[in-house]
Amino acid sequence: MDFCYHDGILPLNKKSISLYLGMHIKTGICLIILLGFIRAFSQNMPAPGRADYDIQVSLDPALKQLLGSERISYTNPSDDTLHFIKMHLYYNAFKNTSSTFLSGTMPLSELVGMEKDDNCPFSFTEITAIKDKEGRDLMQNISYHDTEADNPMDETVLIVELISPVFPKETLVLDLDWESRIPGIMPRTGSNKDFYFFAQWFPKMGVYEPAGLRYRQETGAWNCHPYYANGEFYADFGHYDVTISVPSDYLVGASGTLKQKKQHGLYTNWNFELENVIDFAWTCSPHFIEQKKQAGNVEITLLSYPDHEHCAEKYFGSVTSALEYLEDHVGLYPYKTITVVDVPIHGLFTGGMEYPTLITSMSFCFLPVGVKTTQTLTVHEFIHQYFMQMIATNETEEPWMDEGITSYYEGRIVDHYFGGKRGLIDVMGVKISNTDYNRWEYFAGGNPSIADNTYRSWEFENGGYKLISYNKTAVWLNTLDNIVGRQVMDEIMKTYFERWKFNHPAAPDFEKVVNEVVHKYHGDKFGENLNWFFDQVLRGSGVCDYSVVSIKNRKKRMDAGYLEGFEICVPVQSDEASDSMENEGIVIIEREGEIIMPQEIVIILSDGTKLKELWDGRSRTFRFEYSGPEEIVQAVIDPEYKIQLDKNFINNSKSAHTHKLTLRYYFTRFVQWMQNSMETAAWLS
Amino acid sequence: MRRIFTIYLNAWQLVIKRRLLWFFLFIVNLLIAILLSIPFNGLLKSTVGDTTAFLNSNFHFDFVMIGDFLNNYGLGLRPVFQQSLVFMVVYYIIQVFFSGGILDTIIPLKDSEQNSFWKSCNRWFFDMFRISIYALLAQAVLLGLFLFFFIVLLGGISPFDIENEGNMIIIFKIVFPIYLFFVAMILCLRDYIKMKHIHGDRKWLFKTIPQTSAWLVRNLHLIMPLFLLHIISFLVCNYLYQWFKYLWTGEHGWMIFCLFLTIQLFVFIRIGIRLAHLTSVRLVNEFMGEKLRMT
Repeated sequence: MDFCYHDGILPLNKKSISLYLGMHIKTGICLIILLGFIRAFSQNMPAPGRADYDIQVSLDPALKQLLGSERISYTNPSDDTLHFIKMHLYYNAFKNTSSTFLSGTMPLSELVGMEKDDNCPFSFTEITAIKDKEGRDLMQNISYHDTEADNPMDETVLIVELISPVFPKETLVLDLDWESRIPGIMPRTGSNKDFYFFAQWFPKMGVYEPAGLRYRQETGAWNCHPYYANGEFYADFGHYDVTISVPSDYLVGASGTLKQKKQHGLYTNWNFELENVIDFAWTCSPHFIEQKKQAGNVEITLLSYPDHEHCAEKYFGSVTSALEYLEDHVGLYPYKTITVVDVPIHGLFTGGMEYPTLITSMSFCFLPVGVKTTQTLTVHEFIHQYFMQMIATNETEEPWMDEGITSYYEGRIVDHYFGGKRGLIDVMGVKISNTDYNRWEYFAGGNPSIADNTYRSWEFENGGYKLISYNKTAVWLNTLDNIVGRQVMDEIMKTYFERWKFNHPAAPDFEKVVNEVVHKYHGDKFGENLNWFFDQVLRGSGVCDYSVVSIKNRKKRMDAGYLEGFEICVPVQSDEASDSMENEGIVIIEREGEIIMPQEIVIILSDGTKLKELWDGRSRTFRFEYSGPEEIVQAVIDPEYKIQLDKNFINNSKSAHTHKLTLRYYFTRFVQWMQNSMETAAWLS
Repeated sequence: MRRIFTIYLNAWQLVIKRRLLWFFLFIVNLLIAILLSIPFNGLLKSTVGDTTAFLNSNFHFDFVMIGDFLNNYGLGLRPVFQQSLVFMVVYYIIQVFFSGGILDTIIPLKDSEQNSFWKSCNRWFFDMFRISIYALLAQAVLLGLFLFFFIVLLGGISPFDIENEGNMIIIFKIVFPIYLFFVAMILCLRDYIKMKHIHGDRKWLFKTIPQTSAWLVRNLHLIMPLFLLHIISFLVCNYLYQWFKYLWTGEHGWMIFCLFLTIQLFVFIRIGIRLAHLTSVRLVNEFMGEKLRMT
């Protein structure tokens, strides 16, 4: 069928109209279907792999040894056929000082006291048997491979060549026997005296990322990094059924729920189970005291040594507060338990870490009540249940996605529950909020431009890991929160959580959610999207600093000189002769940093009037001019301190005249400090 | 106990009688502090003089602004603090210089010879300086000894060796008061050695030290409670000062002036307490009926 357009005009008759409509309706239907398909495709995120573990392990405290056997059921999530698999043997990071981990942390290896006692503090994991589900021996097919750090001495990544490949969506079953030597207290794991903490203690599957997940485009690939000194972990979700055999006088705490406890002779078997998690950690000691508390549907278990029994409320209060806040502002906590381990001082390297439904924290008996470091650390580790456990980002490649977001929520929760501006510290007149401390740490803890958030953890080899991944991320998230508003920020995080829980998002996935939600609530207020924001804070290493440089006021003067013709010369008017004349005020603002942020500016006149200006913040300078009967007495940029990224709030405001009160007050205090210091020194004379 | 209070009250009476000296010491302290504060004031003026950022907190502790100041302008503080340290040492030496004059002239001599304050300061400075340095060294040795005992009792200071920090707290609670007692003893010993050296055998300092030490131990029941009384005076004064200080926080000039006066009153009383302590050292000597020349 054709249409005959005469001079571009459709002939108006019944047939042509019905044909025209029909064609366009069909086109419309096709378009709708296509759009729906595109939408469905874009929302249809690739599922991650699944790795189920059935582990039996026995602890021998005398030999400092773990003997374990495990069955791994790994489901290939991709459309690719896998001919080999990669696994983590994290304990080999402490095998010798040539490992990638220990060679990246030389002072650490000296710190663990290698020369003390007869106990060698190093560790290893040795696979003693590995078979596939047909019972075929794969021991000849294993090798250790580290391409990234190019370290032939590192054995934290194990490659197993399979006899039968794993086809797309098929499940591979492997049976392993292994033996581990337990290290002295190393970062996150080990033993000291009779305290044991086991993290990353079993042979663990690497992650095969299918096409479409994270940065995989056409095909999938293994994402299985060696264990770096900086950087943590990455694993798929699965079911864990773990039976731990320890001497009967030991009390065990672990991820998950205790299903069964059975004594046999001098040993007791503890059986734990946990569904839909990425890891399993456990601890034991004959000195643990167990205390429990219910917080809604969640049972909180606290394991601590007797001298810390009285610190229980710090932990229970922190976890309860964090749980309540996150369920309100992010999403539901789906597990029935959370175990908090208050590690003893001789196990301090294991403190301050997070595992599925188990966290480690620390307290000191002598901390004043106003110092909330224990609560802060506990809250931080609990938040990781959401960001790192349920949203299982790749901590090695994108550490900001768990540490930074967690630090952001740490500030919100601690300041909300423990007193706002004094949430972190409130001692002898010194009041510090968690959010403010985090900002201070970003600017004072080193060079804030040392790196950007695209750095992978091992790339922070000259410093900046904590500064950029934790502090900087929290600061720009706070800035984003202030810019878009708390309600929209909560909506962003809820959407992000619901969309990506039990999956492996990457940075573009987070940015996409932000752009989507901000556009929904604010339209084009911040431009087409917030990529301009992420380009600077996520992918850039610049610093933000806006300052009010000068305020000038002068009487408006009439023009002087030969104004009409060449005969009459109008003299320049002096300020004294100009009572009736208007004032001219000029405020100059500069962008001293690299980061561009839109700014609110408030100009205050001598009669108290406030004038508000909005500036896009792009150019290096901004000039505000005023003409009227009043004078400009003050100029303030960002009066509500929304742009937390600004490194200097002091130069955000300026008065037309020196503010003598400020000078007098601090001069007085300095004189006081000097006088008292000298008089104290005089007592030694 | 009554003797102790009598000496304490008499000491204060003498200090009030010698209020010119008291005031003079206060002026020295104030002038040096003001001199030190001038460069700091200059730094403030050039950096935060015209900002309104500090007004929001009503001059209460504002971590954000203090942190931003240190981050962005902290380099300018370095020479100020270095200069302050130098002047603190200078002030220390000045006080050593004055201590001879104070101990010699705080109680007027009974015989016709009247040593002037400045003459005594000059005469005894070198010996006073030596005694002060020996006392400082003794304090350093004492600190080292107690740290050593603390570590031995703890079984090591590496956190990996500590069984639990409950033990650490218990040991600290036992050791620290004993350490404080010995610190107080050395402080008292220093002042009594100075006093004995001025008013006793003036030839050989190293003869005075062991004799005075033995004398101090014999009269510990009098000397330590007296010293403690002066410390309590300081603590009470400090407590009241902290309370009054917080009344004057606000953005009015008169409040800052009241704060300044409160600070000066506290410093004045602190200097008075130190003078009273030195006076009581002399009074104890007089009370014990010791002759001015040691036999």
